[in-house]
Amino acid sequence: MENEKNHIIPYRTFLFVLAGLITLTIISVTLTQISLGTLTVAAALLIAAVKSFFVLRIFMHLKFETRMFSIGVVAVTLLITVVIIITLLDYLFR
Amino acid sequence: MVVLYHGLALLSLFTGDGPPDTGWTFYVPYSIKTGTNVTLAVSAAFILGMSSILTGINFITTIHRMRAPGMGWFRIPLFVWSLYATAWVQILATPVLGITLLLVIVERVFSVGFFDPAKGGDPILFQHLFWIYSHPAVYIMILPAMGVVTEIIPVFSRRNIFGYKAIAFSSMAIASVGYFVWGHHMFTSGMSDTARALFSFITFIVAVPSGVKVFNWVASMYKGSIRVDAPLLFVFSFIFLFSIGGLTGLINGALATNIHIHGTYFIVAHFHYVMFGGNGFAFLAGLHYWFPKMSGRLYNEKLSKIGWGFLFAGFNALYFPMFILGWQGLPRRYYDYLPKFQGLQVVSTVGSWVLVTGLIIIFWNLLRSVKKGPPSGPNPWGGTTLEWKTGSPPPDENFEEIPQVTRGPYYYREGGTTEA
Amino acid sequence: MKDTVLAGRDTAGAKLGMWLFLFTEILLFGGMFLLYAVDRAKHAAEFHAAAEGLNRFVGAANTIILLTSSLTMALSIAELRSGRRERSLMFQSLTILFGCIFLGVKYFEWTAKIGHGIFPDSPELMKLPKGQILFYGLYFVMTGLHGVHVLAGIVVLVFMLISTINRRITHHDYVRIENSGLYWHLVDLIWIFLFPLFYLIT
Repeated sequence: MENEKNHIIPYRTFLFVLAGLITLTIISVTLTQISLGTLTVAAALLIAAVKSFFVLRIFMHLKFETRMFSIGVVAVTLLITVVIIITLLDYLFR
Repeated sequence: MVVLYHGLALLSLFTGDGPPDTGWTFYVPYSIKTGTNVTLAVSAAFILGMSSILTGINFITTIHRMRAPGMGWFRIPLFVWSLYATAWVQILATPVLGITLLLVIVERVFSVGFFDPAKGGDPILFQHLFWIYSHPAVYIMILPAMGVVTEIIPVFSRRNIFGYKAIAFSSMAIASVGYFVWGHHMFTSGMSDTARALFSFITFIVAVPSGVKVFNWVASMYKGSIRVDAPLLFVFSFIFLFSIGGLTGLINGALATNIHIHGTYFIVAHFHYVMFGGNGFAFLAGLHYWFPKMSGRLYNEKLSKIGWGFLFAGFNALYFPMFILGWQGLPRRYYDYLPKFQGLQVVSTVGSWVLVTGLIIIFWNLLRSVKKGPPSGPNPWGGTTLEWKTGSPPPDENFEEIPQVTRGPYYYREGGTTEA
Repeated sequence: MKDTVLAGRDTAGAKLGMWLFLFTEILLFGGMFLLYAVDRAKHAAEFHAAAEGLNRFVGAANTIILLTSSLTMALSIAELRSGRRERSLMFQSLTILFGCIFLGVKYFEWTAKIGHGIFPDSPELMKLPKGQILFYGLYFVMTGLHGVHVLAGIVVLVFMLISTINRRITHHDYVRIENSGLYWHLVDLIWIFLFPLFYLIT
């Protein structure tokens, strides 16, 4: 386990990731100029999720850390999502 | 941070318009409008929350990284499992309180309008945010108490705990499922029927792991060699009183009955049974159990039982009538009450005197024994967990040499003996 | 017990503690995202209208600035671990610079809005429909809370810079700056979600 953390990510990987993130940002800006209602918002959030995935996995090193951290991130995200959904069950069905 | 909290909270008594008059739940819109010192008090609570979060981070990191050699996850004492579950709740629930308190301050200063219908907001949204923390908070309170009970039972019945993994996982289950029941504090607030049905259903589910623990505790004592010393006496009363509190929680969680008893003394009785009857008695059980370890001395056993007697009788006389009073309609948080409630109110009051007498006896016994009790030695109870293998009180760094762990925490044999 | 703990220095433990702290930050902002979700569900059309008032290109530029600062942060740590202290200092400084630029842009965005009379409880804002009042309320509070976190991050990074200069952080002992990097990336992550929710829902 200690060995994994000695892994240093090469420059190129970092630069590619940034290039990808900027591209996705630009895509989300242009895509959302088309007005498709909920679909537009969903697309924007999906792109945001993809960007987060790369920030977490590469910049924050989760790809090379013990699985526990990734499970924690997923669990916490799930927790907030479920709490928000349950709260919406109140507002949407009043 | 705890000191800072108390300092700020005390300050709120003497500055501005005086201490907050909102009630501990700070419901909007009143908490936003009142001139009393809400901002200061809420800031104090925020800082206290930060100390809770830091504790949670500390405990999880310690339990993950600093176990003794050979102590795998299923060899840690069950009290530690309960602390582990508690620490996760502290980390994941308290920040929601943080944002809620920040929003109260923001609303008081900037009047943004999140909870103001005139600006599109909703006061019930505050209640959601508030209870999303405050329900898990009660599990922060009860999980360690249950852990204490689980430690004491094997020692005083000379038997291994029944269902180690079930108890460990039930702690985690209470911590997780407990996140999704918060709406049961809000059944009469105006939430949708869908939400209310869901919250009621999940509230019934969350009672199950607690039930698992009660069954396992009782099963652990079956065919045991039971010695009813003070710690076990407090544990017995915990099981009895917490069960009453927990079962009345189900009554509260059923939608139809909740309409009748919300905001009445029935609720007050319920949470005192779980908090005081549960948490309080478990705390006293732990205090007596670990007293020799902490102080190196024994307390007076007879006095502890007399104190317990007053406490137990007084507790029930004080709080049981509240179930009846609440059912009959006595509201919470009112300054006065109708004459028909007088009788049971008097019973409660006298109960409180008896209860306090019990507390005085208990604490006088313990305080006196700190200085004057007979020396206890390292292991007066014959416990098998690691703390009993070091001095009373423990030396610096707790152990002369770091122990090597080769088996689980509870190893009582048939006949009640343990390997040395 | 791990040998690292006995030696008094547990980098894995430090990292675990930092991730746990990041979870608390996610939950803190999570409460605000809950408010956003509820308010948007109730006032979807008005949220769309209000978002027209924000400039998506300024927002995108700020997003790219923060993403780049995440890159320079990661590079600063990689350089330090590879023994190239000077280059690490350069990348740390760039990260701090980008953070300041981000805050600068936000300052101009805010003052522009406030100059037009759009701020919490302003008479101008009160004339708008309720959904728009909530949108701008959420905008100021959420980007404000985020900005406070960016500021705190910059302060921490300045401390890391100083510690790297006086060699308290080295290529052997870098867990503090690694943890600071994690915090900085989290601040970036939160903005990755704030950006579409406020600027791209027109």
